Amino acid sequence: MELQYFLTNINIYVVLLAAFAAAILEIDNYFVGMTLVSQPIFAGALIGFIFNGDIYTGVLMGAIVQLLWINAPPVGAYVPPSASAIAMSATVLASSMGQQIQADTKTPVLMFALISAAGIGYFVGLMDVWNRKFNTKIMHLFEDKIKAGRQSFVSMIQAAAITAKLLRDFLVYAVVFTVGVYLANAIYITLPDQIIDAFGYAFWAMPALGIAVVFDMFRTKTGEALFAAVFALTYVIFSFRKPDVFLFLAAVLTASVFVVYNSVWGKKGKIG
Amino acid sequence: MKKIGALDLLWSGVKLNFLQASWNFERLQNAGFLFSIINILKKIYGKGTPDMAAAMKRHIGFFNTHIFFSSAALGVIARLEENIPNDDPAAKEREIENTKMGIMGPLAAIGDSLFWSGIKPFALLIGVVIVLLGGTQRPGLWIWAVAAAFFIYNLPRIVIKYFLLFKAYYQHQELFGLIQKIKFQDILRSIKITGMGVLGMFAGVFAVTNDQFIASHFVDSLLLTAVFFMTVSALKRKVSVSRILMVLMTACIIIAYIF
Repeated sequence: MELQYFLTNINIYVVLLAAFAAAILEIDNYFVGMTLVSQPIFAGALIGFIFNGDIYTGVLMGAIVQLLWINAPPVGAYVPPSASAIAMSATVLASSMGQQIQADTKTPVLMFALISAAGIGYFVGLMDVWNRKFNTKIMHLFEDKIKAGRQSFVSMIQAAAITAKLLRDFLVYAVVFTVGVYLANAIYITLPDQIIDAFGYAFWAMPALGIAVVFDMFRTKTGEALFAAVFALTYVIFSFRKPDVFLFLAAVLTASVFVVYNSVWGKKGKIG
Repeated sequence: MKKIGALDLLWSGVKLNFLQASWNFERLQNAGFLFSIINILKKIYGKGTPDMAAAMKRHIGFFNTHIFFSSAALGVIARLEENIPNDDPAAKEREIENTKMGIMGPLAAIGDSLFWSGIKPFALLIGVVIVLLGGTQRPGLWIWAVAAAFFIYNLPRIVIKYFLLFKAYYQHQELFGLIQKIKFQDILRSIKITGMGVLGMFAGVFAVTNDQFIASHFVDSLLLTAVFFMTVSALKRKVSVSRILMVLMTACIIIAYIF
């Protein structure tokens, strides 16, 4: 893609709005609230909608990223890669490329965006480490005043930390949503056909990979047996008939609760 | 000495949302905790008094626990700040500090396992399954998926947080007995088993419907099964998801060049 064409087609106000929304959502990821609005399944779709009205790419990307990085708990001093950053960046890259590149299938574009965004997620995680180091400096700066009983400095520490995080994230997202989009488009069109095919194959396997991640996270002896039984039953039933998928989900949930009652709580009740 | 009211506790609970806003590597959530409890300290000691300064100094020290279970620590500490007389500041300091240090670890352990390994991934799994089973082309369904995930995650988050806050303040002596009585490990196991049931169904539907790509349905199923088992085996060996993605990508490139 030519730079001039790209520059004339980009709406800088929309990019800034999307970057600001992404920075606000990113704060919920660890620093304030932790209410779930920063999670890929929500953030991906919202940013896709703001960026160019492409909610579908955001929903798909958000769901895939959510499965892959569902097991990244921010415990203690461990700073995981930002799944929100991966989902939001992947959505913006994929939806902008989807508009620019004429292709029979979009799956290679989606996978290329996902791989590129994974790097951004790690970078945003690294930035969180810098933020936490910066917070130590702010705390030292105001500590004497707080020890002297100056209450306003406590709020000042909080405000400074949040502002620094917001600014940093806003700048990174603004760069990703402009320079990143341009580079992704420019790189993608130079890729050989075999590499593009490879992206398509890899995206096809993503749900299987995501299922494995969740399986690893939830595995217990009873859980593994239940997984195998439900999988086999679903496979057989859906091979011959196509029942309503949500009714089936409700039935599976009910059956799982029954298994839980018998294997976890029922036994305890008998012992007690 | 003024008595702390329910509204003061509630306001502190709201401010606990900012517990990790200024998280730092040296004393972790210290400034966030002080920010949350400061309105209570002000009510007990009065603005600008030496006792208030001493209390602020006390709480700028190390603090780290689970964000949603931190309300229990806040409730207990608020009660101690109010009840222990100020005539022996060193003894007061010691007792509050010891209680704080003693309560942080167990609360963090319970909260981390219950929320980060149980409720949160389960809520997100339900959201993802609804979206992927129903089709990503239906924004209305996405709203239901997000609403379901929000409800499953935020309802226990809010209930546990405020219940512990008020219980810790008004009946702090019963708090530890109550925490010991609640079978958190069993709750976690229940969530995981239910999650595996839902995952089994999702995997089954995916295996039946995902058949239009590489080769025959049989070969596709074999390939996906191989991806599944290799990923599970790699994750068991603590290989990161990003590394697995890179290996998969490399394998796909090799396959694309060969075929």
